Amino acid sequence: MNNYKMEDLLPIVADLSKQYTCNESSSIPYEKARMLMAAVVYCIEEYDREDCAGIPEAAMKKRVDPRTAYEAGCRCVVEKVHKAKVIYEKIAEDFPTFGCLNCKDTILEGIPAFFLWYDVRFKPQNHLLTLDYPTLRSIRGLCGIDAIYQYLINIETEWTFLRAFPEHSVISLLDRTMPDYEELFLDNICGAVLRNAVGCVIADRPITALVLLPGDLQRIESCFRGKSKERIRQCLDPLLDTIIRHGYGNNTFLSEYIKIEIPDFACAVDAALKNNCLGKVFV
Amino acid sequence: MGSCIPVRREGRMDKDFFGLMIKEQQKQELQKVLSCNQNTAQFGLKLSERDAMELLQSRKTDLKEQERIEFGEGILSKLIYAFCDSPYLFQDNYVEVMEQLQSIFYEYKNETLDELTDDELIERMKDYFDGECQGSIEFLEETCLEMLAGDIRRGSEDE
Repeated sequence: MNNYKMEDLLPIVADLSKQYTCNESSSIPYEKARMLMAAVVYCIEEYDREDCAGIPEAAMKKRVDPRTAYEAGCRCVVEKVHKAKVIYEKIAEDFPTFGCLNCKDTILEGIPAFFLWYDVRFKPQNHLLTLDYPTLRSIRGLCGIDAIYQYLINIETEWTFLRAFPEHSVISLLDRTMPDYEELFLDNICGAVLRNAVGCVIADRPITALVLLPGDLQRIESCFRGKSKERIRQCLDPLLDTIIRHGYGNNTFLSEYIKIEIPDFACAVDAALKNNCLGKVFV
Repeated sequence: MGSCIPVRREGRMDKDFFGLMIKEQQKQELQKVLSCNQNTAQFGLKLSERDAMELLQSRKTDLKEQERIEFGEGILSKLIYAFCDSPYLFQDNYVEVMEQLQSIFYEYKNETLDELTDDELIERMKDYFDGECQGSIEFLEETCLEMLAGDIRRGSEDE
């Protein structure tokens, strides 16, 4: 891990400042200086963190001078942008949004705009988007290309899960959840599908249909009734395993990702049982 | 990164960052300013080392006040070169006027939203100073440049 003093980074910030003003201004506002210093720190952190392909210093984690670390970090950032773009292109080839406007705006309109406007040189720490469509795994604490890269990995994983379900089943589920879901559904689609899929496993209904019949809720209720949140979590774990095995073989990455939802799912079930509204969780 | 760079996000940058930057620059600037004397001597203008130090000290204050950072060679030598042939500049008011011009320069870099380059702003200042201001710093600052900055902010600056 490299450890540089702030003054070690000043010459790099000064050079960036010259580039930023095209050498036409000897001074910049604090706000811009902060931005440039944050850009330098971001790239050096990226260098520290990443094993970037084709960046020998980064791969060997060599102790290098700050400028070398910064430049290698810049190349790591660019490399990551390329990797993110490859992931995005793969996602966008066939990306059902199920009519959800929030999802469409964020992924099909926001992400291309990110690739268009992302500024590796002066603002690599700014990922520009608010990423309104939430993913099961949070990207809190990440910024710049790190955030976008992780977000795209999350989306890719979630859509791997969702593609196993017929589009009309998902649309029908969202419509039952919220009649104006196209414009108003701001939640995660994967989470909604997962909950009903679990309901279908418990009620012994076809999982891909995502439809529960009257009376199924009693069966689901009896499965969870009287259990603590922790016990509900323990119950959910094998149910999720069943779904993953059923639709995705031995995809452990997907399994681990989907299981991120278990704590929230268990809380929702617990609250629904206490308030006698299980039909809000299993739609 | 280690503890010397405590954060990566813009809003939480170390407080000493700006002071450190200004200090670094001051070391080289004194000689540069004094070397301007060779050129200004023909106009009867000269800065002593004490004057130069005073101007650099005031630059530090101005930069802090205007929340700006200056890298490399400062603006002072450029201002001296641009203004030394002004008919309104004499040895008696030289240091005082340069101090004020420097302060105004940074102020209007901000006020013009950095839309003008250093050379453009200095050129405007010189034109106003020698022209309609007739050497009045107050008129330059409060009227001419204020109007220019207003035009730029409104997007109606036509040049």
